[in-house]
Amino acid sequence: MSTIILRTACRLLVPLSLLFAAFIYFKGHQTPGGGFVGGLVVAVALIVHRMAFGRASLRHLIHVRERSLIAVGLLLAAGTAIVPLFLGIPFFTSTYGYLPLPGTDEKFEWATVMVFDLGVVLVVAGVVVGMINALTEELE
Amino acid sequence: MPGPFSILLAVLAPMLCGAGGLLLPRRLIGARVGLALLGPVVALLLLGTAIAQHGLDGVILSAPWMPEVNLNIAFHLDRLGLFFALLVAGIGVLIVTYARAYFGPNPDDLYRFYPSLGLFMTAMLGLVLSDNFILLLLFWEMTSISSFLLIGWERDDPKAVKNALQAFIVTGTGGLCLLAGLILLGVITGAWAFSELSPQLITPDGLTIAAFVLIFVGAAGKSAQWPLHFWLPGAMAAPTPVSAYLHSATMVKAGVYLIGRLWPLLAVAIPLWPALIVPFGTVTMVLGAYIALRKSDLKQIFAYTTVSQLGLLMTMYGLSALEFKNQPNLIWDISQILNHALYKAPLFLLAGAIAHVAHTRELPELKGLYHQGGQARIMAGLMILAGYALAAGPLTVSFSAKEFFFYQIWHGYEATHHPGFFILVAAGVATGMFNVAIFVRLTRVLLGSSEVKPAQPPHPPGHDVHGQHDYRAPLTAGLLEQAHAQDDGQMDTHGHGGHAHGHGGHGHHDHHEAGFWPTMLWVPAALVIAVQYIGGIIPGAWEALFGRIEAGRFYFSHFPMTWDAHLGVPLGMSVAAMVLGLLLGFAPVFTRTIRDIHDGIFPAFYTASTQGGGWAFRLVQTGNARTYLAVIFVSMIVLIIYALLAGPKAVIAGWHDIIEDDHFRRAAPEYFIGAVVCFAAILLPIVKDRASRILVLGTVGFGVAGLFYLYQAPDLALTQISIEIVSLFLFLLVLGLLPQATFGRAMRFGPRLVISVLAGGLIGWLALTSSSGPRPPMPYLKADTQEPFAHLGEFFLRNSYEGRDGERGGGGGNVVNVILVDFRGYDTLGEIVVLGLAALGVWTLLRRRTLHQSTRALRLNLDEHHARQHAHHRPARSHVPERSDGA
Repeated sequence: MSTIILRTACRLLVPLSLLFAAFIYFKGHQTPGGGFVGGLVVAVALIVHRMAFGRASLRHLIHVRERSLIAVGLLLAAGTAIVPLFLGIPFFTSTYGYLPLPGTDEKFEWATVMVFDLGVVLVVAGVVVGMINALTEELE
Repeated sequence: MPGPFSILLAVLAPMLCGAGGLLLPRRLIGARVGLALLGPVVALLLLGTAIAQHGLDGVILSAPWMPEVNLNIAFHLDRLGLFFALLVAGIGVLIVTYARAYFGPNPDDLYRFYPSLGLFMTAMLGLVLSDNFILLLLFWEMTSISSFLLIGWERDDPKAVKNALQAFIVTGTGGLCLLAGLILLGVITGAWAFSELSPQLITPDGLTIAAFVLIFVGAAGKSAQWPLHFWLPGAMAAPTPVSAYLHSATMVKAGVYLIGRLWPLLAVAIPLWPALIVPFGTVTMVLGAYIALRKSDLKQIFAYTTVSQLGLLMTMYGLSALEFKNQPNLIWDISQILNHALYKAPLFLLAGAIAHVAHTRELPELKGLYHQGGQARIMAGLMILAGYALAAGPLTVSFSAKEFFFYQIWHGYEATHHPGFFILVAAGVATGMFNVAIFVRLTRVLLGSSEVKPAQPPHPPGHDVHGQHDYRAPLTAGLLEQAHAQDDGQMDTHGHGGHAHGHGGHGHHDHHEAGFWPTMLWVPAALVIAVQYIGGIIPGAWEALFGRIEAGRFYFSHFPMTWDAHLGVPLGMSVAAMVLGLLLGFAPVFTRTIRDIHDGIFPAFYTASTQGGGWAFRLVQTGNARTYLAVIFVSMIVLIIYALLAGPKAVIAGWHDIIEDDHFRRAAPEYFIGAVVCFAAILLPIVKDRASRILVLGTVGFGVAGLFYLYQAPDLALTQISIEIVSLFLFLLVLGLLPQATFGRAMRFGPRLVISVLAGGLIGWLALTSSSGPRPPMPYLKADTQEPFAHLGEFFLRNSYEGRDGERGGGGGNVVNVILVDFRGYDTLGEIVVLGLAALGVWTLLRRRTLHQSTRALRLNLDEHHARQHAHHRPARSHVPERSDGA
């Protein structure tokens, strides 16, 4: 499947897709988007990259195994849930606040659940890329 | 740190320190031992601080965890719990030290051992300190899992793995019963913590008794009560530090602890209490002591005496219900438990130590060990001292403890005048007699005339295997493995020598150390035995050391010691037991070793369950996807129709509202997209080629995404599109792996059509009615108007950004995302865990598929001879057809 058309398009599309994934992850709490979609977009971008350049190149791009992505994602999600316990408030309690963006009047609204959402991104991306990788290897 | 968290830290410290040891380089043994010691030491210090701060009177330190499911981090600092916690941490310190001496300076063993030990300590500490039922259950299961790791320490030895599995399944099944029992108790009484429970809340109705029976089964499984006791002697496959820790002082006491925790609450309220506990405890007590006498391996002997002692402790708690003249029939129960730990832990430690210097644990081969001098003399001497405590001889704490037990039996008789108590008296005397006989025989062997060991030592009948062991090179070579191999000797039917040297983690026995660490083989034991004698000879010392942990000490001024034993029947029973025991010890009866007939229970169960599972598998797994789908759909149709007929009629009434709904009248582009989706769906079964089907299915998916967009659900549309892309990839890949032919008998067209139409029609209709019919009112009220919410969506919308209805807000404008990550965060957490597990499953399956031809998965087989004969031509039982060009 690795044609020159795909490879050329890939050089442009993959970074854009990853950027878009970051965008929908960060804006997800306020506008359509979120961790699950973000993870899927990341996964699609990585799979396209793998199709164009092969497995070694994907390994070179992300450096970690997919199962580590899943593990870190689950740790982040569970951690977000557990940390409040140590502050004496119930499991899974969340909070939010505002971060002034320097140079503008805008404020970025953060929420602790964004860490949880990041965990979702990592798990989803890890699961999808990992499964497709494993199946592709099986075929190759 | 606020309240419960210092206790939580104390509980978690051993696990954290153990896990921290994994980060150290393997060569740093000193640092590793230090770190492993730090865990229990920190726990001791934190618990000591808590005691200094809160005293012993049962302070509850609690913080909410998941209050909705009655789970709180609640610790109960009372005498019983703190006693166990201090015992676990205190003996833990000794075991960490002893393990360093036992394993020698081998980096690999300690690297693997300390984290498992730390996990177990944490589980045990949590178990005995938890006040909340669910928290207790979590730690209870953790002890099962961590003890599985420790018992199956010799992971290349199939027998050790088998024994670990046996222990895990017995205690794990007990854990499930306990889960059911405690939840039942919580639901009936409304109390989800021991401190909330009181005898007034208990009414002895059927459900409460069922809860009690289930709890007892859980406790009996863990504390090795007959007929579930067989896992404990089997667990002696573990290295000696584990046996000494788990099976003398800690894990097997968990069940006793639980019963001890519950007796003030349930014993009097539930009449079944003594009737259920006492018989099982008594049988366990006598049977354990009898089998112990007829074993020859030191660890087996002590394992069965432990079973016996656990039966005694259960009986003790069972008798607690029988009050007499307003005096409780149970006092000094903690001393009774402590007494057992104080002689049994040293016995196990010394059994391991003796195996280290004498290279055997078979009693007949240890003849004259005392006369060999050096370390062996110290160990043999200490073992005789500890054995004297096992026999409950005068001048030990053990003597008084046994006196107390006999007193309790007699007291129970006086309270009820039930003739069954004479059986109990006989059982008590018999147990004492066997224990004394064991001590006499142990002493006779250890002090016997020294003789040169023959190259082929004589074996008792039934021990035909151990002759194969190599005794040529004492003080060298991995002889300790042979001692391991002799665990559970009578079942050990495979030559062990080849494997013992084969695997990497066992270079440690290749040389004996000199200096400090070898003395650590017996010093911990000596320290513990000393307490037995100090407490036995000087009552005041025991009172000063341990008096404070006994709530019932006010009934007597001090623990009745040798000099003021209860005159009368209890003392008579003691004397009878000693005289009979001495006679039995010297008599030439009961000298042949026997095997415990209960050892057959687990293999039989294992065979039955695997064969039953195979039968069910062949019945259900036809290998035909259509059959699976048909079963699923038919079940679904039946359930939905049942719910419609039997359930509330409100669901059916929704049809009218659907017709009236605005959306249906509005001419809109969704008609066009809807038509495309329907057309593609109808095309699906007509198209034959699989790749085309996937594309058609994609059309349906993208069409639905378009509908989502038109209905102003961009979130769903975005997700649907991404999902469609990913599933397209996945389907195409999986297609390449599927065989072209179909398997199994195909179902006929007619039934298939009926099932499809019914399933599709019902789901479609349900989707329509459930989104437009009237709903039951929400239980929540709006904060400003005090009206109930019309539906959940309205509630979420109002509270998504900032909380307006008494709920805190999620701080997000995108209500879908706030629901996912905040309002329904639990669900999402569960979903991603499932997702991760599914991915792991796929990897494992694919890997197995690839490895299938080259290596065969390690199979646990109970009948090893059978396995050896058939391992190489066992047919593959896979119903998944293998492609010849696969992998």
